Amino acid sequence: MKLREDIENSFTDKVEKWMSGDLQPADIHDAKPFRHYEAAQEAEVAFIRDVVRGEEERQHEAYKEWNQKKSVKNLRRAYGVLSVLVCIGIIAVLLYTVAYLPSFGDKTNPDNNEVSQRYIEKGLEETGAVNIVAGMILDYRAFDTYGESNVLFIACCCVLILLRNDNKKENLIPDEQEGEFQRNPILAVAAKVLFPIILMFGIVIILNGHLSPGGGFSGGAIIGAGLILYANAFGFDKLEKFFTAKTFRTVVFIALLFYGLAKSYSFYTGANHLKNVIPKGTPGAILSGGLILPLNICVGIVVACTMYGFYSLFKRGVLSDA
Amino acid sequence: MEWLRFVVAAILLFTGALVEVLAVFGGFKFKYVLNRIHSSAMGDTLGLLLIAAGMCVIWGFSMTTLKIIAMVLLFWMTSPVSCHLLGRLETETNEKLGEECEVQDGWI
Repeated sequence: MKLREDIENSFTDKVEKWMSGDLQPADIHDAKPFRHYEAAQEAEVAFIRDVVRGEEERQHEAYKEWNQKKSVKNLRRAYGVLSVLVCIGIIAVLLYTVAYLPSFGDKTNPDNNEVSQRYIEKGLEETGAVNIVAGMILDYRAFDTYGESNVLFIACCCVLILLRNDNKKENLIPDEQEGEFQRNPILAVAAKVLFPIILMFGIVIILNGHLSPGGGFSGGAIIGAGLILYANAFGFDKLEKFFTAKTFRTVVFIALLFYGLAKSYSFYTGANHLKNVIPKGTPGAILSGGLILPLNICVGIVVACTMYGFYSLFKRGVLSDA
Repeated sequence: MEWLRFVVAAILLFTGALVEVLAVFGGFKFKYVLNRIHSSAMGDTLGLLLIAAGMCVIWGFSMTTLKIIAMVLLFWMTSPVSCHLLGRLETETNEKLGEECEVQDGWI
C-alpha cells in the first residue's frame, strides 16, 4: 500500500496520534484539516459569482438592445394608447351606471325602509340622544361599535407583536438621533399653545357626542393627534410622565370592560321590553341619553390610546416604558 | 349700506380666491421644493385670511364670525409651523440644495 507523502502532520496522522495518546485534542484544530476544502469552496463561490455577474451583464445588454427594437417601441406606444382608452372606457361605463342610480333624496329609494323610519321617528324617544347617529351607533347597534373598539385594540396588539423592540433600554433609539426637528423650538412653542386647545376640543366633541355631530371616534382621533403632536415637539420622555404602557393597558382594559358590561346589562334589561333602570334624562341636556355618554367616553379613550400607540410603536418600537 | 357690505365682501373674496389660485399655480410652476413651499404657504395664510374676512363681512358680527376668526388663528398657528418643518426637512435631506437655490454658508 502506497503511503501518501504528506501523511506527516495531516489530519489522519493526528487522529491516529490522538488515539494512541500522543496528542491532545486541542492540537487537532491547529491543523485546519478543511483548509483546502475552504479555499476550493471560496474559489467556487467566486467563479459562480463571476458567471452570474457576466450573465447579468449579458442579459442587461440584451434587454437594452431589445428595448431599442422598433416593434418594442411600437408596442409601448400601443400600450400607452390602450391604457388611456381602457381608462376612458371604464369611466364612461361607470358614469353610464351612475345615471341609472336612484336620485338623491327620493322617497321611493330602497334605503327609505321601515328601519330608518323607526330610527328617525322614535330615535329621540327611545335613546334620549338628540344626535340620531349617536343614538344609532351607541344604542341600537351598540354591540357593533363595541366590536369596532375591540378591532382597534386588537390591531394595536398586533402592531405591538410585530414592531415591539425588546424591553432593553439600549435597543431604544435615543431622542438625539431622531432628527433635528425633534427639538425644534418653533414646533415646541406652537405645540405648547395648541396642545391644550386640541385636547379640550377632543374632550368637548366626546362629551357632546349625543347632542351634536361627533362622538367617541372623532374626538378620540383628535386627542390621539394631540398626543402625537406633543410627543413630536417635546420627545417621548416628557409624555412618559403621564402616559406609559401601563396607563395604556389599564385605561383601555377598563374602558372596554365597562363598555361590554354596561351594554350587556342594558340589552339584558332594556332591549327585551323589560324596564331599563338607566334614566334617559331630558333630551338636549349634557347628562342625557342614558348610557350613550359613558360609552362615548369609553370609545374615545380606546381610539385616542390606539392612535398614540400606533405612532409610538412605529416610531421607536415600544409603547412608553414605565 | 347693504351694497357697500356686498362690494367689500366681494372684493375680499375675489382677492382671496386670486391668492389661492396663485398659490396653486406656483405649486405647479416652480421646480424645487422650497420654491413650491414659498408659493403654497401664501394660500394658507393670506388667502385664508382674505376669504375668512370676506365671510365675516357677509355674516356681520355673530357666533359664526367668532368661529371663523378662531379658525383663522388656528390655521395661522399650525400652517406656518408645518411649513417650516417641511422646509427644515428639505434642507436637511436634500444634498443638492446649493444647486437649487442660493444658500448661506454653513447652512448645508
